[in-house]
Amino acid sequence: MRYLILCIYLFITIFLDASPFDGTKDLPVAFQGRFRSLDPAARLWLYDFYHVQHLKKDQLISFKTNDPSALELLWRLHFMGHALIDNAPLFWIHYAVVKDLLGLDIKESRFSYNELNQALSKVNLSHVDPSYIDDVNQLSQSIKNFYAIDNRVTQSNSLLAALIKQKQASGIDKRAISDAIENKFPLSSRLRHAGTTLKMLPSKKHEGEWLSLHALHIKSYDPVSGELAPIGNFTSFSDVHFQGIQVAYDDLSSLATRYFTNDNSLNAEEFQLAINRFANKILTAYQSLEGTAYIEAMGKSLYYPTLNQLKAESLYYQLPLIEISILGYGLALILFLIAFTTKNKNITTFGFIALILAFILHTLVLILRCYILQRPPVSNMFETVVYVPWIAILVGIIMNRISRNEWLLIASSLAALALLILLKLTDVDARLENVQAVLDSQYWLIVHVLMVVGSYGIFIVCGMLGHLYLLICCLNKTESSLTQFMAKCILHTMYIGVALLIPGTILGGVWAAQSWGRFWDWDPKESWAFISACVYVIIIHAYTFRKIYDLGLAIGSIIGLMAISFTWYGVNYILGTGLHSYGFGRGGEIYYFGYLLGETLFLGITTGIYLFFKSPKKYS
Amino acid sequence: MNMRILTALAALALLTSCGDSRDQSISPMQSIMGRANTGISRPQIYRVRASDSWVRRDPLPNENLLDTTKALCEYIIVEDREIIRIAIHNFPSRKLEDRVPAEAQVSRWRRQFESLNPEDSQSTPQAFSGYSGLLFEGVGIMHGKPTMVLGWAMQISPEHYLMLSRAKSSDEESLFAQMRGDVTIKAVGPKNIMEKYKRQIASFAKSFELIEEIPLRT
Amino acid sequence: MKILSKLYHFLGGIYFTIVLIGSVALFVIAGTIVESQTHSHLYAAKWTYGNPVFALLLWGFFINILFSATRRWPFQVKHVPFLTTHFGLLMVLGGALIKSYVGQQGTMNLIEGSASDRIYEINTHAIFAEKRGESSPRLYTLPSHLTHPLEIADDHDGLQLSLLAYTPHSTQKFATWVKDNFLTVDGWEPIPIKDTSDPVTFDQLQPQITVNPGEGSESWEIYALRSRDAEACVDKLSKNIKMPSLSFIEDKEGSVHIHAFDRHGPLWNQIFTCQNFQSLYAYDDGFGGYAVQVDIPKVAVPNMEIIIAQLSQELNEAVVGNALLAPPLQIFQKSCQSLNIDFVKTFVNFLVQWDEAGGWLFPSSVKLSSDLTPVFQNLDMSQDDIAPACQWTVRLFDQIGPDLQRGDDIMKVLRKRKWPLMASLEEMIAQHNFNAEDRTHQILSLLTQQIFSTASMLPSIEFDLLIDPAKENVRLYSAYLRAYDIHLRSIISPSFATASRVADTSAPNSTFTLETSVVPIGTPLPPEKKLEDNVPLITVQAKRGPIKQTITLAYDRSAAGLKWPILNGQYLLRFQPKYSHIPYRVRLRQARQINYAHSGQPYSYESDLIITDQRNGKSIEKTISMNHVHETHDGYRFYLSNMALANESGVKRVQLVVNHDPAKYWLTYPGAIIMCCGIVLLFSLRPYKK
Repeated sequence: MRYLILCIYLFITIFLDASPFDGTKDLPVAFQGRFRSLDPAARLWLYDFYHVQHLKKDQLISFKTNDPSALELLWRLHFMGHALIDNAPLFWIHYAVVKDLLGLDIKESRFSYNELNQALSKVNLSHVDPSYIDDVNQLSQSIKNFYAIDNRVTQSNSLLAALIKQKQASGIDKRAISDAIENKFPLSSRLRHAGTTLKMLPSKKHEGEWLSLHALHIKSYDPVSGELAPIGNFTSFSDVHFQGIQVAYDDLSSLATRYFTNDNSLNAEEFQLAINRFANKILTAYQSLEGTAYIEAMGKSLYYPTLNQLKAESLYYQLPLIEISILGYGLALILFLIAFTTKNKNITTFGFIALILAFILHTLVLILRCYILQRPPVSNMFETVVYVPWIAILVGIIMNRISRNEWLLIASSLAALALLILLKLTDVDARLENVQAVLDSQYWLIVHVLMVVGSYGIFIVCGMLGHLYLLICCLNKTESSLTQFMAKCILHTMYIGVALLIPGTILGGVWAAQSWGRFWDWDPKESWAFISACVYVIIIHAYTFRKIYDLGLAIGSIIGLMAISFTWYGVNYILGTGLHSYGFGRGGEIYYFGYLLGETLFLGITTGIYLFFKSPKKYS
Repeated sequence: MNMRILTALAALALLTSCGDSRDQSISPMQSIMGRANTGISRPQIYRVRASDSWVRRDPLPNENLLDTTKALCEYIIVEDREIIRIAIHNFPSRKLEDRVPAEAQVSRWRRQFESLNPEDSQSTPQAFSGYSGLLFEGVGIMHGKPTMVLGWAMQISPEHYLMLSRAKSSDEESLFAQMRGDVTIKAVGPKNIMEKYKRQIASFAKSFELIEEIPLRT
Repeated sequence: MKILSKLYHFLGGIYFTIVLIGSVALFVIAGTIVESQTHSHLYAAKWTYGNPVFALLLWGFFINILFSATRRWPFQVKHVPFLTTHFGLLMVLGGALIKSYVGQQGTMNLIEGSASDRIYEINTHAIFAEKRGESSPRLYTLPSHLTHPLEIADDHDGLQLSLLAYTPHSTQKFATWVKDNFLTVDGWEPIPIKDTSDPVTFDQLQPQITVNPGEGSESWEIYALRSRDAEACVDKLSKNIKMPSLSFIEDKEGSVHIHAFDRHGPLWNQIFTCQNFQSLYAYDDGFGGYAVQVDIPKVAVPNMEIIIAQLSQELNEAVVGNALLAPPLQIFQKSCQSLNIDFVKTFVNFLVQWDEAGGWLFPSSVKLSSDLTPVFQNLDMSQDDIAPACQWTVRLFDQIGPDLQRGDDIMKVLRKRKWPLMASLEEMIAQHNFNAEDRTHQILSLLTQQIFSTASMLPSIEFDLLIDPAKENVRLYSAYLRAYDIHLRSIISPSFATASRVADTSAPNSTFTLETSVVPIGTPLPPEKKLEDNVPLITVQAKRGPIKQTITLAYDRSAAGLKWPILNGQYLLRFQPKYSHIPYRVRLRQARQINYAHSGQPYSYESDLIITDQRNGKSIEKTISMNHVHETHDGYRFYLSNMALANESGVKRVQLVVNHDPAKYWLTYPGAIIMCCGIVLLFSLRPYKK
């Protein structure tokens, strides 16, 4: 695994290298509650403002750069402050209502700091539609974050120097000065407020708290000499490593300032060397920390990522794995359909190969997420939307190997394609983030969530088969051995799904008893899991006792799919209440209701056509 | 068929592997007497869990403990002919307003150093066992040697203080008066050894509590 | 018989199954939609999951499964999967039913350092009663659906409670100074409140009564008013008032604004809202009732901070404008300039220190602050024209100071000491007409001026050189300032001092205290859709022997609020959830929230507990956290459900959920396992059979 990552990584770095700062891609940095590699952190940092992980080509001029990477922009702002790009369209606003409210051009989607600062100072919050207040507040927060980027260390150093001079003039002794300074400007808070960018230095005193690189330039009062002196080792790195970093950073910052002011006398090689030296120093120092625990709680701990995990994370953000999987599944689907119409077995094989390749990349997404986050990949909407189609494909492949029928592959690749494209079209949070405290139980996450969410994947294949069944019946106006086979598949998948859903839900009850103190409380998610189970149980009972036949089963599989879709999506996004809703969303309701309507129309039309035109030969 | 057996086995494995973590029964805690003029009248007030290898030193029974500069009890850790001294003090008070803030205690500790390394020193809020206050960590030069101080300056919460001001009898009042008192736990020792014992000392301090429960408002 | 057989087959049949499952599913769908609309789980439960029809459906399920199984009698091997699944389902249903009848579930509230064995059952009603002189309280349980009239009689005690009224939702307020349109202050007759919304009343505000707060004080006029705009009312009053006054103004929210005025205007104020108080006095642990107090200051003193700021500003303007400073200020400025120190700040600082230290001259016993020391070390007090005068003033004061401190009259002292210029001094005193208060100061002032005017005639004095020059200089310099009548007190202009006053409460006897009792008022409100937010209100009549009293109580969900006295303080009552005792006593040592690094997102919630089995006294220490519960050998489970104050800055509170489900291990969980196995068996056998 490690070697695979390394190989792919080398491949990427060799072919894509451009910015001199690329050498800092894999350095560890604290960003939004996690320790990640610098490149992903920079991408997410930019995304928070800009809604894209790199600068748009046509906007490079207003950002006064020719490098679109977030990494270089972050370094630039770190050294040069935000003033340079105050007029660049950095802030993305989604809702037209918000733009209108702020008096901005509705056709534009991104606005500059200066524009927004002005607009926000004029807006009267009491007139804002309450449902958009959060958006406005968020916007002003992000403006503040942007403003806070500037380096304040130099300023605070000179302030301190003035204070010391004043104290010395009044004849106060050195010890008293030192006490007074520590009282008024405690070093711990000076370190903490040294900067908001590039938190790459682990604090010695607060485990798990990392400090900005700006802190290296802090000066502290030396009571012996009575002067301000460069700060001593405040990191949990060894003194030798710390000094190495301090020297390398000093070097880097003077060269970087020249680089960013387009100083032509700057020797590019020398600059590159300085960057690499700095990166090296950080990485060497970090080796003493990698993989060690920094927060220990009852029965669990948080660990610093290893260097390999950091590399993997960089890689994860650089590789368009999901996009390639979509292409693969799409290709496979097309090949299968061509094979079906031309009855060419070879094309089927090609299709299968494409499917397997896409599936491998798809698996890689999940494995990378598991490896980086050290937990099963099913604790937020994005992860489940990746995991469900993966299960669908897996089931499709296994059942195809048993029954040797391509329709299963077609159904499952259709399911996967639909979900993955949906994932790309919508704005689901794709980040690698921490898991909520209540979900943080590897055991239950595996048992309950993998089972229940896995059943969704199976039910989706089941529903796709139902669609295909109805379509084929509708086209052929009769049942055939193919439709009989498909009905059997529908039944099988339904059985497997139910066998995962019901025990999974019950185990969820046991988990709830473990963490909330009650087994079952008709929470909306529980209720809807129960409702879906009821739907499938009714269908299975009716079919077993011959109250419905293959057609009914196919229709039932689609109704079941609608129930599942509501359990999965509707509870969190439409009902929006209850304990299970990890991350409510907004919007998308119309599309969802559109889907339900489409599904109902499809059922009505296909069944109608089939029943009206079907040949008199009756199924026995 | 194989698959079915596997599924069944997997399901069984899942169902049987859930279990609670084990209980541990209380390993003996050492009780500490409160502040009074002679040994006979000193009531047992506090308890704390200390390592067996630490040496405990109590004041002599005839010693007058009303002087709050005298420790209620001391623990001594010996290593390489150097020692860490952990002293527990309490400061009984009559009224809520009479208490000295934890910050004052910490700045007193700060001043005991000849020079203090600002990079290694800090105070952080702490709360446990009904007490809240500050933990002071200081590294610097004391008596010419590199020294580290770990000190907890703790006070019973105001709400508890009020409950402990409502004694029903004079016996209870004398007990409550002790229970209301502020507490400091301070460990001093050479820097290198203190670094080694830091965690142990912290868990020692956090195990400190009143023997009696603080009455709850009903 | 045939009908019975038909019914039996129907009840165990597939149609009944499908109808049952379908209607349960529809019920649940309705429930989730209601819940999302009202955000109230309780509301949804009331109409769906908690509805008798729903319970009936579940019983129908039970019968359906049972009959469908018995219909297959005699059983064959092929029935095994079916029977296993349905048997498991029966066990789960049975377990749920047993738990609802004999299980225990409740919450336990703990604070670090304290312990409890009480669990409160949410959404239950009870009246908690404490009898004076008894240590164990009583709990009178009320039905969860309250209906009135309802009688509760305690036969042991003779206390009878009857529920007279019930409102599902209310808000509780507390009446303090104003009750039922009367101003009530302990020791005063109730004073009717005047409504100022009437413009005539507003224009001619008259005090209702005059009270005297104690011996040797002036009388106070009292206003008791109600106004929409308390601010305007105060403005109006402060213009009208001629003598010390006290106004109580009730605003539209029911808050009472108390303002004290003296001749010069507003002196002090405080607001009492009807929701919470800064402090509350409980008499006799509540049996004697509750009260609030105010300490109203009688005197105002100048606000030093404002005065100092003003003084600094004036002096600054003088310095910047190059105004000619008085000679003592000039030498001080010179000293400051040579040291590169801010003159204005330092000089004002000195005046303040002198004022605080007291004394006609700066007392030699008071240590000079470290920032002033260098200035005085550097101060040139040896100029010929002033040095002797300063020295003589100091010497004179050293001599007569002790006498004056003893309280002797200054003129007598001077006569005794044979002050040579006595005659001219007496002449000057006769010209002025000093009032008794600052006669001594005035005379000292004249005396100093006398010395300075005759200084050229006086011989110079040799001082002991060993004395700290700064200390000596400060005394000499203060004498110099006295000659120019410069002292903090003397340069504050009187009008300025009046405008920036603060109430003086430090001196003894400078305040008088008023007190009034606190009375709860429950105001009925229309019920909330979210039932969880409702605060029920009951009116209870208590009766014991011949005494009867009615009290209105609002529901106290936390069961930690005030208990209200009734029947002449014989009992304390509170309307709260039901509680019961469990055989375990739980003590909370520490609770903590551990966050992910660099974020407020919690990573873990943990609590260290000591759990003592009260039956055998055995204790165990246990840390519980989310996903890690504690379960005792006899089936009590402790879960961490809530934590208040998630940081280390204070003592934390924790809510535990405690439950006891006797059927879980031998019915519910095994049933679930059997059902799961049954489903697996069904899946592995049935499809391939067809």
